[in-house]
Amino acid sequence: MNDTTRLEVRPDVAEFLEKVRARLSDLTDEEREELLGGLEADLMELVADGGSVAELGDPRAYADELRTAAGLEARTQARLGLPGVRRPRRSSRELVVELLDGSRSRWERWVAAGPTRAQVWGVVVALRPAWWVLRGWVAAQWIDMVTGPWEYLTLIPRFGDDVTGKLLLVGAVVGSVLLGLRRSWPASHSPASVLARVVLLGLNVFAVLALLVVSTQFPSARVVHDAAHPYAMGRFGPTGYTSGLVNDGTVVRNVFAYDAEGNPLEGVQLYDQSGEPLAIEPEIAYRMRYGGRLPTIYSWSRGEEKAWNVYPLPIAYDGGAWHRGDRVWTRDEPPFLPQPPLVAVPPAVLPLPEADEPGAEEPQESRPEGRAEPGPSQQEEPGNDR
Amino acid sequence: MDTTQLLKGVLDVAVLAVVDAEDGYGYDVVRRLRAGGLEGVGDASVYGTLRRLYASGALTSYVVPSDEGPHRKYYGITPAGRTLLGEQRDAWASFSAAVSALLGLREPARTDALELTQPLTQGVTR
Repeated sequence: MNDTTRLEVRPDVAEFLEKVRARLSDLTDEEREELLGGLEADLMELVADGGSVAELGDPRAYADELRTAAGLEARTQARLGLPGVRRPRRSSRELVVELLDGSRSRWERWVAAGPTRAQVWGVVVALRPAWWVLRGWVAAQWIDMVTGPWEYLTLIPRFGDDVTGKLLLVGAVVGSVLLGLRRSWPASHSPASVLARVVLLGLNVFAVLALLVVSTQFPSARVVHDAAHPYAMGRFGPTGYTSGLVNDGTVVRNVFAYDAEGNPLEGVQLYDQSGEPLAIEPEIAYRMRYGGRLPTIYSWSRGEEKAWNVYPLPIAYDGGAWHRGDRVWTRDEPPFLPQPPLVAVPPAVLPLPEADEPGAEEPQESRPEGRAEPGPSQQEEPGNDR
Repeated sequence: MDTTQLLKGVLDVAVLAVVDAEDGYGYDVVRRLRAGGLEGVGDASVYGTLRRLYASGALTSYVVPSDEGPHRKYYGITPAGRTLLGEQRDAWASFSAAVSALLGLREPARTDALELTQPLTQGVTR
């Protein structure tokens, strides 16, 4: 009719509604109005129907029932908060928990839905310990990869000495298995803290990705790769990769020569007993690290050819022009010869029988002429250094 | 037996069925549910259920101005709600048949009992 009837909203109804509204104060305005929309009319009709607000009971219980039935989260900490401060409806932590639990239960339902799936999944679950060991190994390899100089992987990581790598490997595997057995980390199931679960999940994902990365560095992966790409370099010995220069299983990236008096030499050309150039393999050697910086390795030139057997090889910190074709001397910041690792080395002499004084006074005389002249002098142009 | 717990499980399908029969506003739906035999149904539970079904897209709503007082908020069923109702109706049929059989109220219907879990879980996820 008009405003007069509107004012006839009974005081008890209005009061009840106000209490319900207050109880829903932690919801957003939108949620609250959505919940309360039409409620006034419903309550009015209830009263008109001969009922009374009193029979609805406690307005707070009424409000709780309303929100629960509406699928909204029950009021919990709101009363502890400051008045007027509205708690977000769902914290991100609850969302994460719901996501994790939801994914898990969806997966379990999916697996349970098919007998074959259930069997396969049973096998996978039984293989979990293998994964624990594998991810421990991956962790050790990963640490090896990011800390040391680049090298092809071995089953047991090498950390310069024999002991460190083995200790690290054992430690990583034991830690990973303990993690799997939930001895050293809270469970991945619901009661565990959200952070613990997320960290564990992240570590596992990282281990899978690291496994993909690490596996490409394994020599056997290179065998496959090289078989498919004959132009790629590659010969393998029983201990791993042997292309280029290898010293005791470790890739040689540069060579520093000293004369018999112990002074560093520049521009030394090296050949082996057959006249083959002793050249490093640039595709491998450029991956070395100098204190985190990646230098590009350049070569000396022999006419148009690049001479990878002339040492020391110049380097440049030019942001890593990793294209072999770029490695020429034409850059603005030219490559330079790196400092030799040792400023000088002790003099050396040949143990000749007539040498009365084995001192360093006459090293030139003690060197036979045949040695001073490199054997392959007729091979001025070793066409291919590979 | 405490029927409020039972009521919780079937309130959705009951509300859907009532609204499917005829659009209604909150108190109207409560009244029809009670008239249908669910005397113990709580006002707030029904209102909340209506809001939730609306939020999930099973119901639509519209406001009807009233001369005598506050506006009424009517709810009607959507095609999605009708689909949901159909699924829950099937689930209820096999569930009630199975429980009745278990309680000896009816001849055992083995197939119903065996198929019990499937419609119930699928009705939620589908």
